[in-house]
Amino acid sequence: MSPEYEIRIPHFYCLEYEERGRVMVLEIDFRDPVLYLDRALVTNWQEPDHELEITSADKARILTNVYDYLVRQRGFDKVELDLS
Amino acid sequence: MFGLGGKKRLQSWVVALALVCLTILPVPASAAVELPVAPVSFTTQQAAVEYYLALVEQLDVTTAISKSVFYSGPGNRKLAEVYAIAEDKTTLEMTPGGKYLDDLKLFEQGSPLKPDQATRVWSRLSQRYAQQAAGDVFCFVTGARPSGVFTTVELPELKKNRKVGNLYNVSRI
Repeated sequence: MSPEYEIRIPHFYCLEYEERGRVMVLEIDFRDPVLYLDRALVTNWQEPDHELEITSADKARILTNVYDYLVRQRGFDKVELDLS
Repeated sequence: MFGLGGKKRLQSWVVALALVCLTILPVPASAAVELPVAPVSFTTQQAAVEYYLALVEQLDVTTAISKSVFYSGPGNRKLAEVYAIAEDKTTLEMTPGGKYLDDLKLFEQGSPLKPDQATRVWSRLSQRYAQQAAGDVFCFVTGARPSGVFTTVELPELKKNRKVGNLYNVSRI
């Protein structure tokens, strides 16, 4: 079964996360030797969904999906996930 | 309509105009220097790394004096970009070489480089960007991590760089 999200890395400084037609940009600097994924990265959906509330569970799900994509699917080996 | 003399004058104007355009129009990064031609595929992973590391040495990341802007840490890239545009300054990705390398999407799926190799290539370009900086340098680095590229690569180069004057943490002004 294919995942219910899509992830792209269009620039060296960000990652695009898409889920159910909604798109979010996470500001991750891929030049950094270690990538840190924490709740501060998950801010808002892009227009026209930018007013939608993002719950704590949403943030945890998105970060877990991004971590899974980077580490398990793409082979990034220095990624720290902080869901606290 | 122009007569013979008129035609000659018109031709002269066209040639002159073409020369002016060639002089003032910006030259794309790829045309400014002769870049190595990218193979369709690389025979080995090492060949790919060597190609991109050689490419990085030829990319134009120069900025004018007191025009370089650096950033690191959450939320700082956008602030740096807005500041750079408003103040006629430049971030790495706004240089011809930075834009060229960014357009190659080396971190995207299907890249010829593994993630750590792409990081190495970008780290070298960031180092070159710091090495070429001159005059005052403007940084958006509040909240930057000690392990980030700014702290480990760019800042040490800026401190070594004798052409650099003051380092401003703009986000704190």
